[in-house]
Formats: sequence, C-alpha cells, structure tokens
Amino acid sequence: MLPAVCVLRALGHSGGMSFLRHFWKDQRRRGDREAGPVFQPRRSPVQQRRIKVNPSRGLVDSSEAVVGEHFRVVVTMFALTLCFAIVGGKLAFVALMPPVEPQPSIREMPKEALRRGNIYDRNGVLLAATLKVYSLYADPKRVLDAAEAANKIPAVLPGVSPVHLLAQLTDPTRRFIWVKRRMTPDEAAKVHALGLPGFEFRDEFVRIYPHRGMAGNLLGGVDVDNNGLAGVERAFDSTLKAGEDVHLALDVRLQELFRKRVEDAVEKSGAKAGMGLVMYAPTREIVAMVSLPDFDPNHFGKATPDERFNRVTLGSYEMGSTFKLFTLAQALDEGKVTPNTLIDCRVPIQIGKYTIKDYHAKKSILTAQEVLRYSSNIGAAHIADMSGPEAQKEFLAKLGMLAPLPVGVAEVGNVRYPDNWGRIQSFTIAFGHGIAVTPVHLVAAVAALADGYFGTPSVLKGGVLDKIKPVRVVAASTLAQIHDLMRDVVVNGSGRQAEVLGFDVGGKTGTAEKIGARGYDHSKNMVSFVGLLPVKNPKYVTLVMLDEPKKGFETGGKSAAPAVGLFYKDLVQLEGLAPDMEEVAAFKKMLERNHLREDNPWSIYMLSQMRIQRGEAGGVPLSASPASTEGFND
Amino acid sequence: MKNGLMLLAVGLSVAAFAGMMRVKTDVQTMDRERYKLVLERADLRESKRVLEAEWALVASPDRLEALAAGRGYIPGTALAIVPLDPSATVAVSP
Repeated sequence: MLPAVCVLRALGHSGGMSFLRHFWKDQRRRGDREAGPVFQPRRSPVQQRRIKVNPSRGLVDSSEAVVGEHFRVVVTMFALTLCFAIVGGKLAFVALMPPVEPQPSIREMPKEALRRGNIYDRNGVLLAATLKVYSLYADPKRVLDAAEAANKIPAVLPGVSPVHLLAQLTDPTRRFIWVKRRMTPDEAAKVHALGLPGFEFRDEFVRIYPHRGMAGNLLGGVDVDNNGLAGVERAFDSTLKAGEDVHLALDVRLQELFRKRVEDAVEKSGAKAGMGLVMYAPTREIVAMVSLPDFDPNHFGKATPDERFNRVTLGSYEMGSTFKLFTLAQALDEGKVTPNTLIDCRVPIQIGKYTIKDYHAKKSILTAQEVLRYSSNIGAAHIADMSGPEAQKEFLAKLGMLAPLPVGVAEVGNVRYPDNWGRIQSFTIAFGHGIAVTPVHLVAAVAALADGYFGTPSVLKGGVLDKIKPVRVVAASTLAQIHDLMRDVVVNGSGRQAEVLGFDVGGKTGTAEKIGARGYDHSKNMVSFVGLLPVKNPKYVTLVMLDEPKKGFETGGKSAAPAVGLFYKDLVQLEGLAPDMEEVAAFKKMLERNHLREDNPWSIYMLSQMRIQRGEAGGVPLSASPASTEGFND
Repeated sequence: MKNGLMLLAVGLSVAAFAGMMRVKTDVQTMDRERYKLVLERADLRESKRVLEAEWALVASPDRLEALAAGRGYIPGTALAIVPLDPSATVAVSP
C-alpha cells in the first residue's frame, strides 16, 4: 500500500482515497457528457419524497451520490476478497499441512475402563476374565413404598430376604444400603424393569474363573483391587494389568483328566497330598499341573496356606529312586557301563556310619539294566562311584538340578544339595537322597533324557520362557539305551501298572523316606512315578507324586504308576493316537482264551508276559531302539 | 460488470457459508454416530466377555463328562477298535 501512496503523491494527489474519489468523479462526469447518467438508482417513494422536499438530495448532486456508492462497492469487494483469501488460505493450510497431532473431538468420547487381561488355555478356552457386574444399592429416603420394594425385589433376586430388606428400608437413620452385590446382567435387567425409585446400580469389576478349582494353584488369584497374588496372576501381573491377555500351554481337557487321576490316587492311597505335572516334551510346555489339596481361585481369600502351597513348583523333595535314571544315564553316557555290565549287589555298602541297602534286596549280581529294573540302591551307589562326585555334580547341573527353575508362575522353589559333595553324598544322591528338587526339576531332567537336550519348561504357550537354545546333555547314541532301560522298568519292573495296551510306555518309580525329627522316618514315604509316552519319540512326560500314602500303597509302583497309566489311557483316547493293532489283537485273543476281562487285575501281568514273549511293546522292539529324532535339534 | 462482481462475491459468500454450515452439521452428525458406535462397541465387548465366560462354564470338561456319563457314553478303549481289514490280524498270535 505504501508504494502506491508514494506514487500517487508523486503524481500530485493528496492521498489514496481522495484520488479514488476524484477518479470516480471524473469518470462520472465523462460519462454524463457522453451518454448521460449511467446509474439511475432505484429509489423508494420515501426517498423520492425527500428529494422533492430537499432538492440537494436529488439529481442536482447525483454524480456525488454515484461516486460514493461505487466507492462503497469497491470497499465491500475488497473486504470480501480479503475474507475469501483468509478462508482460502486456511483451507489450503488444512488441506496441505498434515496435523501435528489429532484434533480433539467436539464431544468427549466415552472411555472404557482398562481391565485386567484374560488368561486362556492353549486352545483358546477362557481360564480367567474380568467382568462388569452390577451392585444394587438404595437410598431409603428416596424409596416411595418400602413395603412394595421389599416384596418385588426378592422376587427377582433370590437370596435377598424381604424381612431384612424392609427393615433396612424403613430404618430412618440409613441413607445408603447395599441390596445385592455382584449381580448378573440378567438380574440387573429384572430389577431395572421394576422401575422402583430410590434404587441405583453401581458398576464393579470382578475376576472370574469359569473352571473353578481345576487349575487353582497354576492360575493363582487376585485381591479385591485385582492385583495378582499368586500363580500366573502374580507372575504376569504387569502384563495383565496393561490389559494384555496371557495364553498358557495348559490344556483344560488334559488338566481335568489328570486332576481326576491324581485326585483318585490320593483318595485311594490315603495320601495327605498329591501332585503332578504333564509336559509336552518337544516344546517343554507344561500342559497340566496339579497340586492337591488346592483351592477355587474365585474364593482365593478363603484358601488355607496349605491349599495355596504349590507343591509342583515351590515344594522341593528328595525324589528317591527316580534319580537312578540320571545315575545310569551318566554312566552310560560316559561309557562307564553298558546295560549288561555286572554290578555286585549282594551285600549292603558300609561307608562311614551309613549303611546303604536295598528296599527289595535281590542279594545277587545284577546287570546295570536290572539295577534300574529292581531299583537297587546298592547298584546305583556302585555305578555312581565309577564316575565320582565331581562328575555327578556336573552332570546334574547340566540337567538343571542345581538351580531354581522358573516356569512362569510366581512360586519358584529352591533346590537343596550338600555343600560338601563327597563320596558318601554321591552314593546317596545316586538313588535320590541327600538332594531335594522340585517336581518341575525332575520332569525337565527326564525330558532331557528323552531327547538328549535340556530345555527350560514353561507354562506359557509356545514353550521356553527365556528362549535360550536348548543344550545337549546326553549323546544321541546313549538315548536308545536309556529308553530301553525306561521301557524295561514298565514291562518287567516296578512300573508295570503304568502299561497301556498298544502303546510304548517307559518310566521309573521312586520311593523316598521323608525326613522326620530324628532322621529318615521309615513309616512316611514320598512316592512317585515319572513316565514317557511313547518312549520312542517321546511326546508326553508325566509325573505323579503322593505324600505319605498309607500301607499297601507305600511304593511308587503301587500308587503313583497306576495313576500315570490310567491318565495315559485317557490321553491316547483324547488325542486319538493309534494303538499297535497287532498287539491289541493278540491281547484280545489271550483274554478270550483265558476267559478274562480287560479290567481283571491280572490282565496287566498277562500283558507284560505277552510283550516279553513277543519281544516288543506297543509295536516297538524291546531291544535297543533308534534314538529320538524329534524335538530339539543341534 | 461491477454488479456482476458484487453478485458473484455475495453468491460466493453465501455458498461458502452454506458449505461451512454443511460441513459443521456433517461433523456433528458423524460425531454423534461415532459416539453411538463407541458405546455400542463397549456393549458388544462386554457381551462378548460374558458370552465367553458362559461358554467356558458350559463347555467345561467336567460338565461335558457328566453329560456324557448321564447319557451312558463310555470312552472307547483299544480293545474296542475293530480293524477294517480283519485278515491283517488273523495271523497274529501271542
């Protein structure tokens, strides 16, 4: 604008606006001369009367009026153009420039409260969820007809006492009463339909576990503020609080079957507690875990400390004869023995003030295979002595036995082993005394003997928590021998009750005396059985342990092995695994020939005898079988 | 010419005003729709959660087992399997 004014001044004009006015006046005059008035404004009758009264407003000064109007038009156009320029500029800015951050909405959108994430099993079955529930409360002052309310509400809310409700509603000192907490949406809708004044709902969030106590110790529980207190709820508290879901390796179907078998075993044997877990060997996923007695996570606060104690991950126990598996595996792997190496088990071992003797003394020279089959403590001690304490400690460390093993639950048990690991200690550890580990340790180590690798077990779907590459601990050439030894225990030895018709099962029983006030208590045992299905290319490793079974069930072979066998029968049905039909047909003929039924107690011995005669179990030869090729790779 | 410009300017103003009003009402309408959708989404999520929990309860293994037992269903064993080709097992003897 300034340069234009300067130019106009240079031309002799006093200013921009006066110049425009004069310009239009000149134009007007020129127009008058040439073609008469260009612009004849329409005038209203009032304006025309004014012109008659005051001629100065009329045509006398028409050229001035026209110039003024033109001037206003120009100013208006200029203003409008400016407005359009501003609007256009803003539109161009909005269209071309991306917004730095999202613009806030005109209306504040409703926000959903951040809820604790759900827990699912491996097949997507819900194990734990947070649901919105409705709690009904009332302000007695605002209730118009207390008697009507006391009649109608209990009719739709079973459990609410009409008398109690009426007493509360007619209490003049009360301004707030809870009528019912944690109602279902259906109940809330029914109350809402009553349309009673003075009654209101309050939203609350509650953690629910649809399967109740089926996997109580694994899932754990939460407090009233939905903070994880135990189990997976505590271990993954931050993840769940952030609203993320957790998918476990657990299979509710296997969990239910396994829990039932362990429960039955506890009941039958009169044990004071029972525990066990099932691991899917190829990925080390824990697909079932039971610790009895347990609790319903829906009522976590009511559980006793004994029920909350997760024996599988937190309890550490002397495992007994199942440790002979590791003693034999080490000796085989180091080439100290073969399955046919002779071991003198005729006399107990005297070392220091201790005497090592056998529970079922054979008092003879046994092969290494027979040492495991008959669970000879003397034989295991002799075999451990071949390797020595240092090598034994190193081997058990490779199997993960000497360090806590977190699997994804909050409860992680410590291991206990002697500080001074000498010759005496190596003897006792050879048959599972003097060292205490958790059931998870035992299953992880047996899984290592199944495929030769040690991998960290996990309760999470997909397996290993830490994603550390599995470490080979047993040579592939040794695996077949170990598998044969485990199969032999089931076909010929103390684990016969775990046999499953048409399938190749292996394992080892364990019976450990518990430590009392004065050393080992001969009357209190911790019995166990750990089994593989199938032994060749193992898929499932299963452990069942019973605490203090009564007399008649005081060994692992009598009480724990049958529980594993029954569970494996359930499992093969559930998984639809095909049995060896030749064995099935042969056994069927044998039963028919002897007029026996399948559930006859002697049938299990007949099956063993038949397998020995046929030289195979579940279609797998009883001699050395090829090593597993599934699972982890080098 | 000048009248035309003025009319054009006024027309454009009216059009711009109408357009902006239209945009404003559209935004408000869509905002209301969005508000409704957000509420509906929250309701659907809640329903999904409840249905999921109900399904887990209804389809729990113990309940299904009880139902099957009530109807007399028993799990099949290996001995109950009949091979399609009986000749395959005729020659087998213990």
